[in-house]
Amino acid sequence: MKKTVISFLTAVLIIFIISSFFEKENADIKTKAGLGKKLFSEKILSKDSSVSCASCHIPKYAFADTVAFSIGIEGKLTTRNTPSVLNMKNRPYYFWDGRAASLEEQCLIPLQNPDEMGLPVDEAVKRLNESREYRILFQKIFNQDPNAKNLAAAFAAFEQTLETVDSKFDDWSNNLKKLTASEERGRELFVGDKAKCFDCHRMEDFTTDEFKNIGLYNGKDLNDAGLYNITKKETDLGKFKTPGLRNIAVTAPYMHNGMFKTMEEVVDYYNDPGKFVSNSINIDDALKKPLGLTDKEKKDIVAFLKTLTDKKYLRSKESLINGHLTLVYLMLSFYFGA
Amino acid sequence: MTLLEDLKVYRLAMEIGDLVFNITVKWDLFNKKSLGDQYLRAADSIALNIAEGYGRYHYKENKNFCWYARGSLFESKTANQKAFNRKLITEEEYNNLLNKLRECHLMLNSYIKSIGKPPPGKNDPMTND
Repeated sequence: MKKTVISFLTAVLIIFIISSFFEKENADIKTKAGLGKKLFSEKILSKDSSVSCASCHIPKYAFADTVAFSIGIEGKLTTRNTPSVLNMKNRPYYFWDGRAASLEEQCLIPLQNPDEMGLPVDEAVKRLNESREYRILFQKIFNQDPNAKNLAAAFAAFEQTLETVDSKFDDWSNNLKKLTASEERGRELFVGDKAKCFDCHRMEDFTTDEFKNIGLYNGKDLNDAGLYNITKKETDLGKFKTPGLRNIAVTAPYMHNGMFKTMEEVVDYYNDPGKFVSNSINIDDALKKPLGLTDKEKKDIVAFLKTLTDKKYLRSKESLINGHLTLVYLMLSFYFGA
Repeated sequence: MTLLEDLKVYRLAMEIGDLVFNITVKWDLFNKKSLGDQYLRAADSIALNIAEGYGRYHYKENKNFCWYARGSLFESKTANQKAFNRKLITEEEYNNLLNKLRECHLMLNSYIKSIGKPPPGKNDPMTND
């Protein structure tokens, strides 16, 4: 009898501790962005409750994925590489083919995509309304029960907070840090006429927000026509949005199809696209002739690109290494201790 | 708070304006009146707009003036190219100015991006959880 009472009291205590933890967590959610952040990791927004937005837009990898094609519900693969959702606030359109004109419009599309989260918006709203926790949160923030509009508004508000402006490059601009000799040479190449990077990656987030065909469309093995699928204009064949380059060092693999695993491969490709894809259709004029970069110059460009990484991602890389070292240390101590 | 004179991008923009002045002031009257005047006004406008934005009350106004500065920077690049095409400046002068304008462009981008942002780590909505 005594044992049963103790077990019961322990269970009650555990439930109390867990619920007070969640209540405290929810009490901290006071803004649309805060709610959007919680929803970003919410798996009930997928058909089988197996994935959330954060499953593919992994926060510690600059909100991108680490594989060419992400895994959606029921193990299905996405058809394009998951782009980072950082620095999206000032973009004029979203997705590789620009099919969404606002963050509010963009954020509900992956929810419904059968290869991604596979859940109709009405069903998502229904699930949120069935959750007491979410009803309270939506009431607190929007004065309304969850609906498609405020769900999109919460996501968009969160995504608008995901701006990064604390990289070594920014420190260089603010006279706080010097670039190494290689980074400096890379910077000069980046903005110069030889490498031509700056022609397309030249605004605050290193993109001009234009659609370009960089030669990764041949209508055969590379048959994603990109913008053409939306506009049906021949001139748009194989065009994709120019992605920003901030945090590019942590968002591998690269390109709309994730075909390059490293930045070195990407620079190699741009140096001579014809060496990789000989029969590309509608490639941009700027890429028709090889750039003629030397191996040293390619390394310098990569060195400069690495300076665009926000410090929080440098830290998370370091902490990952430290975490691994700690694990090895613990395993060794356990082994020798035993 | 950073002083205007401490901003690297402002100092470089000032240097560009002075460089262009020292070149265009030596041109003959026709070239001064046709291209020189506009080249100098564009080059001076970079620093002038950065300063005007800096002195405004709201960060959005500051950003707006920096976008004007970037427009002037593009104008200066074209004027530099025209001056070179018309053999008004040497190749060395052309390259020197072009490199400085490109450097200024990169810095200006970073500066625009930083306007209105809280200092890193403060109220940072992003966590790696």
